[in-house]
Amino acid sequence: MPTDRHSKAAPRAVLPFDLGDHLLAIDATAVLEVIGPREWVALPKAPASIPGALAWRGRALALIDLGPTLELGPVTAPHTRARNLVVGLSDDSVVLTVDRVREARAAIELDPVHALDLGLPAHGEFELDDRPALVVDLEQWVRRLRGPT
Amino acid sequence: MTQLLVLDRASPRLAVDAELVERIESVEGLWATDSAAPHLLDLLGVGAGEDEDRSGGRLLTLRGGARVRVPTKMDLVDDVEILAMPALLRPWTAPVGVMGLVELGEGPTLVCDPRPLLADEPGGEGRAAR
Repeated sequence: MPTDRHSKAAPRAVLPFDLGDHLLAIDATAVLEVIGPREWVALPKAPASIPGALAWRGRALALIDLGPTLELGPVTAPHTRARNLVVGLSDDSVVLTVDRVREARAAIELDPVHALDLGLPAHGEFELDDRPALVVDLEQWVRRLRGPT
Repeated sequence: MTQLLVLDRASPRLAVDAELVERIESVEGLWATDSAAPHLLDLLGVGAGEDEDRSGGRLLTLRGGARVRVPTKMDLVDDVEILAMPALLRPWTAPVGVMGLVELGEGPTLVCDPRPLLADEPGGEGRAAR
């Protein structure tokens, strides 16, 4: 599977969110639920980008934190950030912890990534409130996080 | 449904499936070789929430004979459902013996089977065989 950061496949809709000073978004069709702060448990020796797990609807889900990649402070147990996006991926569901969730945007045309090189795989970027917002390819990001198989 | 021994003040919160435990003893009064059994929190590379004296505590003898020390205070919790850890986390759960997660009133808690960790310890095989 190629890992082209500038994939031309645009999402049908995006859900913007804030993490620190960064304005980001993900494919809104993949979001199963937006929930408030939750308690989570850290996993010994796990990387900072996938530091632990929490329970959601009778399942244990991995917690994903983009903070360390964006040079923000990592999420610290026992509480997540203020909002959590439960995201369905092709073979799993994960919880992406963020600071604030904004209103979803319907089909928009994405520009190639040019203003926001944050080290994250992305579908593209768009402008929101006069700021560029990066649409993160969470599926590909999680694929990168997978440990040795 | 499962019965768990929940370790007091461990960080992260930890529990051991009671089915794995054959005997619980106080470390005080045991032979030196027994009290030298590794501490579970040291095996996991994690800390205790407060000043835990790791020279004391309790000694768990697990099925198969392996022994591990744990904090003195533990709570027995009945009828809990262990949630399987997601496949995404298994590269990190398997090496540290984490077999699942439970939701308790204190928050989510990792359920640990210490036996793979003890097998990796120097002398672990012998300790288990005694």
